[in-house]
Amino acid sequence: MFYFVDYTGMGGRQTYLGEFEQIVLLAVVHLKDDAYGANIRRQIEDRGERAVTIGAAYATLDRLVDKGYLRARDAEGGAERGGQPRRYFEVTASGVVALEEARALQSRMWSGVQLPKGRKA
Amino acid sequence: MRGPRLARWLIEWILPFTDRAAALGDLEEEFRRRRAAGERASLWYWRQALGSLPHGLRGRLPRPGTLIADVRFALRLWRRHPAFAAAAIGTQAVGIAVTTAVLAVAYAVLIRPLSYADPAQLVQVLEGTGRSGNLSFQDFIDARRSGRGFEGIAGFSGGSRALTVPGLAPDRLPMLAVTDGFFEVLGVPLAYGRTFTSSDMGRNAPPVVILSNQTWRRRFAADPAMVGRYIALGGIPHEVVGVLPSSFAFPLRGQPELWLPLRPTVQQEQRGYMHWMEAIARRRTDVSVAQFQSDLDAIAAVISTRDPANHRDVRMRSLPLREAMVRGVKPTINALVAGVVLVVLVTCCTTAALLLSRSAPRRREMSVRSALGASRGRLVLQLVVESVMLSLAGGIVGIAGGDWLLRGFVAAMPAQQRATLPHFDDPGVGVVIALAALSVSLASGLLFGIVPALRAARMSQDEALKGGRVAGSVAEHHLRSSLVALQVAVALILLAGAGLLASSVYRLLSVPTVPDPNRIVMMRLNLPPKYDARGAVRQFNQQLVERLSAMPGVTGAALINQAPLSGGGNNGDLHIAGRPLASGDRPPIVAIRSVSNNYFAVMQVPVLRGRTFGVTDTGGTQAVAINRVLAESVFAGEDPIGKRISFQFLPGTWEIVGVVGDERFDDVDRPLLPVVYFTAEENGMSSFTVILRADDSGAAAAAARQVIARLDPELPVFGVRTVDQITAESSAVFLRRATLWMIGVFAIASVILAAMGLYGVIAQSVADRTREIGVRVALGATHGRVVGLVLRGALQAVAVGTVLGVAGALAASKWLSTLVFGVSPRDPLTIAAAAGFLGVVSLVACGVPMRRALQINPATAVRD
Repeated sequence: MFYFVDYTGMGGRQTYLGEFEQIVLLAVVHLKDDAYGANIRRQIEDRGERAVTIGAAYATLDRLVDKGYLRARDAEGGAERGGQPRRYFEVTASGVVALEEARALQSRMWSGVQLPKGRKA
Repeated sequence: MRGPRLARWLIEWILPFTDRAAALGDLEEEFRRRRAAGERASLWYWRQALGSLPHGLRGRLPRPGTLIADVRFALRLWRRHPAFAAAAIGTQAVGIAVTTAVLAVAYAVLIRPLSYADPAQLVQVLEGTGRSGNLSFQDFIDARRSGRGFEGIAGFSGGSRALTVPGLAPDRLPMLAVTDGFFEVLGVPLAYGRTFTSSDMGRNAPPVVILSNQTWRRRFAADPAMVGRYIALGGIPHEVVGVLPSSFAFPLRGQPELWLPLRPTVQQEQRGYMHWMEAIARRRTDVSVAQFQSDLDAIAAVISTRDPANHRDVRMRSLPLREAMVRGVKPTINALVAGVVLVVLVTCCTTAALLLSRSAPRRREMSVRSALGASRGRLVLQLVVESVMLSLAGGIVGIAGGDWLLRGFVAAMPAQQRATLPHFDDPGVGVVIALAALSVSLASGLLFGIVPALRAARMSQDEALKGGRVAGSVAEHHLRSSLVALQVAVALILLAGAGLLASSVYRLLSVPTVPDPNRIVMMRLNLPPKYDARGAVRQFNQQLVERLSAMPGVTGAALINQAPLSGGGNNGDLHIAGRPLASGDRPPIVAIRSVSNNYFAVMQVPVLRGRTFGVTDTGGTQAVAINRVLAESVFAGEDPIGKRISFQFLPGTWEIVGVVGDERFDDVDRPLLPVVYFTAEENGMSSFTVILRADDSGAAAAAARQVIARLDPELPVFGVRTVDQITAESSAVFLRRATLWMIGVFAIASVILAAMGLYGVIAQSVADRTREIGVRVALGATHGRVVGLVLRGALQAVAVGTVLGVAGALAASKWLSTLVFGVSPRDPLTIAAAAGFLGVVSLVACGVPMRRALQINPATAVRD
């Protein structure tokens, strides 16, 4: 018999956030009470200027929920959604901690950095 | 107003169940917003769906561990059922072996780049619309001077030279004379030495030669110091200036061993009607095919302005070099590829039937697994892994078999045919072909593994857990019967094709060539320049005929400049005295042959009217004979005897003194040529074929060699062939025979597989219905009823297969239309014979399981 054991999210110190995870978390923070799937996707596309497919968005949202950084809540959807439910997301306390740590890491790494002159693409 | 249905379905399939509703809602919301804003919302929706695919697949692909377990399980099954594994792997191997061999041939001939620099730019330049496309020397010079569309153009003309090496018998080597720039046009650097320059082209320049790599290795021990040495060709020392690289081949003209500078004779250089050389060119990369053609049109205009007498309305055209090399074998390749597709279809059917036959006994296993929680996808995956492994193993065995088949096929080809195809000097399956064959194998494994797998996994659990013998379902029986019908159909198509080819080959081989051919042997002689004085040639000719005729066992010996069935020879425009050409008419083109006076007697060519040549035809009587084709075409309805004819290349007029029967000078699948015969008695011939009529042609040829060696020990005798050998080696026969061999093998393999399939279906049906038959027999069913019961389904399958096969054979006839000779490609007799043969095979295949059904003992059948 095989047991597939998932060790991630089992306490202990978390690894740093991936870039896309950070972007998704920040999008949720930006949207406050309005953070549901379609809005989050659009927020990333508008503000982050990168295309996101629904599959990628939900895969990351699910992972963040699994890690305990996000909380999900389903609400009734209206006719404009063909009657499908709307899933709202909210950043948890450990999500906030993770974001802060990510920002701290970034600023530590960036402090005093002078980049050599690069060519603009 | 909802998103595209298929894309929605895709999203549903991709996303995990928990996210599905929310995500579809999100998409729907945005879809409506975008549509309201007048954007292309459907396109956007599709992009979302397809872009999400990788995320959806990530969670669905089997873990590597599972796959390894499945592979192990499959291997264990093979050990437990070795007969099944061997049958499945063997079937697949047969299909892949023929696929590999035919793909390798098609790839070498049609696709693999020729071994020249940038070969796509190379073309053969042809003049006129005739079959040869030869140029005269001045035409070539015009093309070279005035052409703008090519980087370079080079001419060539074939022949042979006698190589004399002290201490060895003289040998005649095939030679190609080429202009300067020939190797540069092809872009081939030499292995040693230099290519020809314009200073090598002069008629009085020192004699030089370039050796082919094979000749350099075989005859001169690959000595790099050969460059700069002299070899004797036709008794004249030639300096070796270069050696070609081993990769070089020029299939357009076989395998020349010697390469000489093209030095036209005075006549060849000056006479505009002598179209004797060929040309290749390298099209400039910045010139399109259409521009190139207009450049050729410009050249044609230059030529017809310079020499209007010989070049009225002359046309120039070009053919890609590869096309020029392979156009003769294309129908064969097409037929083979079509045949392979059919064989793969049959082997796939057989594999599917084999897998189906395994699925019934394994239902219990599947049910148990499913009861223990295996998902349907999991079961399908396992079965697919099993069939893919079978096809992989079959594919690997098949590729090895295909390599063997290919080498055997190439080895069995006449050398002269092998030399005319690109990349046929080094047969073998390369990486490209092996990968292609493996892909075919894998694809067929997936395709034909997935149907039985889906069927097996769809079974409900309780059905099989109930216990007892599991009978094959009705649907499964139908599926197997359909497979058999398909196999019978394909086998019938291949059999009909093989039958048509066999009868074509038979008809070609029985085309009348020369009277009483099996007692004729021919050999060729070329007299070297030391005989240049006309008297010497004539004297040699006479002595030769006298001494050969006097040999014991020889009934006659004669000479001709171009032998029957050789395909080559001179042609000329025929003018008839007192019959001027209407403007716009072209004079008839006739073949021209020179013969010794006794030729017609030795060849047993009948004299239909008038007489043939005699001793009186010397001293300017200018008598010629013509053949029946010419008499009936040009002199239809009148008596040709006494008519005077003339040729541009000969002074004076010639009187027709006789009409003789037709001889076949061209290949056996081509029409007979109109021929004018001249006597060679007065002037002699320096290049000719000796015709010997003898009871024992082999002994006569050997004795003739000795007689010739006594006349001139340095004179090589070459091209010793009986008429039957010439016919068998001709392209006409070879192409059909090669196709026949392959299609015949395909047909036999598919008949065997179809018979196996039929046997399997009936055996299965007998096994499934043992109890039913037992009950029926116990209740008094006769043998006839039992036979009918068991056979009905199988015979239906055979009948459907036969109908499909006949339709398929009729439809496939166009693939063979260029290869079939002397019989309609839709010949009803052949198709009926193929169907009849398959019917007999079907009955035999049914016989064994039928016997078992009849021997069923009702008591044991019902009890078990």
